[in-house]
Amino acid sequence: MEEKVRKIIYKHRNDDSKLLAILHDVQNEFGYIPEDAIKTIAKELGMKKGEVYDAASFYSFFKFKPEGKHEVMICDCIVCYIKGSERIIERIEKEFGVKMGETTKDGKFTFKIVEGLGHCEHSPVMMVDGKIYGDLTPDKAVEILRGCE
Amino acid sequence: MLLLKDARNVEDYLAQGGFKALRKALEFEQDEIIKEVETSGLWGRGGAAFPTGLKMKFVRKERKTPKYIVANADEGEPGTFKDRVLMERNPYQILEGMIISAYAIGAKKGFFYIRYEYRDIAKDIERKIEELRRLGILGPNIYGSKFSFDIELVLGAGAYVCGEETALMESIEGKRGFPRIKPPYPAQYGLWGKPTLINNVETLANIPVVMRMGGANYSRLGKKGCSGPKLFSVSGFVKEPGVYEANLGEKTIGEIIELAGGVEGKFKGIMLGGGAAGFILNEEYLDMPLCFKDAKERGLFLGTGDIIVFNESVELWDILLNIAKFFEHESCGQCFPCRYGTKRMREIIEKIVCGEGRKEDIEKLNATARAMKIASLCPLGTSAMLAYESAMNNFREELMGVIQ
Ligand SMILES: Cc1cc2nc3c(=O)[nH]c(=O)nc-3n(C[C@H](O)[C@H](O)[C@H](O)COP(=O)(O)O)c2cc1C
Ligand code: SF4
Ligand code: FES
Repeated sequence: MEEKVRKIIYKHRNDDSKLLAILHDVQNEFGYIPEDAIKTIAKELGMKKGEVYDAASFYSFFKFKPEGKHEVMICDCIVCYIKGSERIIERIEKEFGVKMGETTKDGKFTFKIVEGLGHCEHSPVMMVDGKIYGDLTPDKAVEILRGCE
Repeated sequence: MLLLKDARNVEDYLAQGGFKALRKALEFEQDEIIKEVETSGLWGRGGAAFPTGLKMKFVRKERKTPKYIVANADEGEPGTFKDRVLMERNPYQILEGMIISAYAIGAKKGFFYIRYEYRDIAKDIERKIEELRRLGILGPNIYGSKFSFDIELVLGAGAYVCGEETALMESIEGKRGFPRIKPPYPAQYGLWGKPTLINNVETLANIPVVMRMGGANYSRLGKKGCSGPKLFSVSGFVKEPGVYEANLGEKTIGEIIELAGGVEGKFKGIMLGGGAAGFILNEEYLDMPLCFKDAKERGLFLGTGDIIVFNESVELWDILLNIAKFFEHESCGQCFPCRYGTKRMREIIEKIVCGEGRKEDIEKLNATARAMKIASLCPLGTSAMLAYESAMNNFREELMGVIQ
């Protein structure tokens, strides 16, 4: 792992804004940001481990432990809310037997509520592994998720 | 349309006269460009409506180097999606505006900060930056001139407060996104303590328009003292939600709603300026022209220029709870009045939504709002109660109807 992290850090050697870029790449590589990676990053950038963790943990999209195979973000912000996001959340919780913020038992999905996906012309909206699905109904949301491998 | 053009690839953009403004600008003195922008009456499109030319002038006159420029594409305000649509449809105009501005202030390096939720667009912008390097429009000696400039893309990681200019700079520097105390302003003390110009991406896309038509002509678009094209994100209960472009002052709120296909269901009200840091208004505001000045005269801000339409199905206390939760979650926690106040507001409104609201709770809400307004460190904390206060002004009877 240390080798891979070092490679990522090397890739960003000429960037002025390094830390976020490195953390994103580490998360893409491992699916989350392992503690050992934080150690390596701290050493290479001349920071304290606590400093790296402190900065990283401020941001809601960095993860520090492995999660489900698919990341499902459901927008519950104002426009999605008035267009029925709560019904979608309720239905998904029932259908998959989880609460928001949790991972399904089979490890397939992690569900999160997010604050505004910026596609409000298609509210209610969810994002699955970075892809946007809009104009959702509870049925349509479940259908899309059932279609995930 | 001056902003909402379709120029997704560089051939289309060049065919539509793209980068002509940059070529023209490179023949101008730096101060001449700033003069044009000042004359144009262009004000920032990121929410604070600050005169763009003036901000450029502040950075230009600083002696410290290097200087930096930042494009703000964090677009975290709920109900706002105009920057996304602009980046999808007309990305080169933003980049062209950024290069011209960099030349005017004497910056050699720029950062394009884009929110994580838009990471696909970020990848696309990164490819376009690379493409412009190959074409000699970015990098050393742009178009054969003495001016060299490059852009680094920075992907955010999910924090509303990082759209605030000083928090964004902390974030670029690799720290937590805590807003800094101002002054000093970014023009004097920005990225790594150096003079920095930060603009919203829509503001930057206006710069080539100013250069092409000249500041004086630009200033005649729209209304005197409130000029130029503006993007409006229209969402909620309208038949055709989307981004609409109009010159400032040219259309009323009601007319923009008509452009978006009209109301779906029975009109109840709107939220203007932002889906969190915005105002909840009734039908009396439908004939207000969408212009910074008209808004200000009524004690409002256009903010990011979004209009969320409510119909009869929308319950106001539910909306206020949704907004209160948003602010509680997004408060960075750095200062006590906002950290505690946003939590307190959410708790009280939650109680009211459960049907247990009493007169004292309204008093407590008002007191909390006042304290936050006076003592919060950044505009997140001072705007968290705008929705509640404006709703109370415009829908008092309905809101008080459930209070015991
Ligand atoms: C909490 C908060 C969030 C903000 N988010 C954004 C944003 O996402 N995009 C933006 O351009 N400006 C945002 N702003 C405004 C910026 O601080 C700044 O005024 C703006 O980038 C300046 O650009 P302009 O002069 O071109 O408008 C935000 C401000 C606050 C207080
Ligand atoms: S007002 Fe709120 S968001 Fe702004 S610095 Fe204070 S705690 Fe952070
Ligand atoms: S409020 Fe959900 S995408 Fe805008």
